[in-house]
Amino acid sequence: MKIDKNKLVDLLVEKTSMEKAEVEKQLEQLIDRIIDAAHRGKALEIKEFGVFYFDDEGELKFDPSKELSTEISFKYAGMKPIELQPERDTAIPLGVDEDEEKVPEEQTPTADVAETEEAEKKEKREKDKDEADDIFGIEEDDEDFDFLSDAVKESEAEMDVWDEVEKEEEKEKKEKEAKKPKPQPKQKKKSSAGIWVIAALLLILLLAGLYFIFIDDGFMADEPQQAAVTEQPAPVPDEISVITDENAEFAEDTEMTPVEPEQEQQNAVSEEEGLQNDQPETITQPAVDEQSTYGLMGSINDEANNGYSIVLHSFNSEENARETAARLSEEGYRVLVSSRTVTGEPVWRVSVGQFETLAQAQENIDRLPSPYNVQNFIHRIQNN
Amino acid sequence: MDTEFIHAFKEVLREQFVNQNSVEIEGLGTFDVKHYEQHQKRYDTGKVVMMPPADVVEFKSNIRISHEN
Repeated sequence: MKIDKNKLVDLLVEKTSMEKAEVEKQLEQLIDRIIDAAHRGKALEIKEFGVFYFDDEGELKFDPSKELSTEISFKYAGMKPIELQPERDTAIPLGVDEDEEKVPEEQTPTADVAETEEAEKKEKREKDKDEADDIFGIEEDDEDFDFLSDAVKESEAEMDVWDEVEKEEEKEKKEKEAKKPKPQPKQKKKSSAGIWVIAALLLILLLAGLYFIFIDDGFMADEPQQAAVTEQPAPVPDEISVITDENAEFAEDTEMTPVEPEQEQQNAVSEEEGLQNDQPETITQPAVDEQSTYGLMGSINDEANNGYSIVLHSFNSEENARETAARLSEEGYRVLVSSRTVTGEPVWRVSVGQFETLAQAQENIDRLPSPYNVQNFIHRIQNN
Repeated sequence: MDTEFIHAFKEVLREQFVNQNSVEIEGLGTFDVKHYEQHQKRYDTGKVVMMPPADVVEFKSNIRISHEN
């Protein structure tokens, strides 16, 4: 569908409390300002929207801001280019092939070379594994993210321990079984199928038991992790700019700043610093405040409506959406219901959590129960 | 310029982009949302990567700088 200027004015009138004539006037002013700034060789930035400027060929260009690009491409949020091994045709790098592993054996002139080759292979395999983990991973390499992956490794290590315990128990069981049937070799054949079934059942029970024990441990391990996540935001400048933006919304958020394209970055930085100095109390306040502002569980905080939320349901009727929302909030989630227009139809989205950054939202997806942990997407919360 | 207007302007355009609508503003230019499928890309270094799919806003304008000559 194409929206022309008239339609745009209508939509703007709907959105604001202004008269049509006023909206038209404002739109003209905006266009004039963009073109005027561009003619003076400057770029005009509309915060959280983009920059208008004349390029080297004198053509008017527009670069969307990171926020706008993210929101439009929300379906593919966090996807990253994947490196392909040139010799492979497959899209996803798999583990090392068996053939490849055999190669060094055939071509080993000396033991030393074989060793180094083996080491290289190992390294490569590890690298491949990392890459595979990285596929369409999250772009932001935050500290807390590293910390999280460490935590994941730790829990994997724990898994291994359990595996070992399991294996030992299995071994014992097998020994017992081996001892038992010896005196009655005839019966063994008959009941061997039965024994296997029983063994399988026991194993399943054992696994289930371990699973519950592990879950308990997992919850306990969760707590410090959470604390780390909530502590982290304070020093990151990104966070500060979001917080200050919100507080200074009317003054700063929508202010349009004509800047030289090259100086843009610097200006943005110095502006952030300036805001930092203006509002020291926001920055010095530690994690406690942060915890109540953003999060997956709890009740909705209106001040956190500048962030992201995880959409779990989409309905055609508001009634259904409200019902589901009520159910989810009984389970303790922060639930938001918002309406959007998708391909001309109104839809009601039920989303949970309020997160300051996309990365935080993505981390919290793992905390959702099935099937929500796979059937979801993240959208930006719209506060008007 | 009115803050409320700028806010609404951003909001309306964002909604239209998310709905894959193109927006034509007379006297400025046209915004289009284009979808790119995932595709392979080869860098000069010989590295081959699979680029993820993406929806991207593109802006076209016939306004050109006038005082260049």
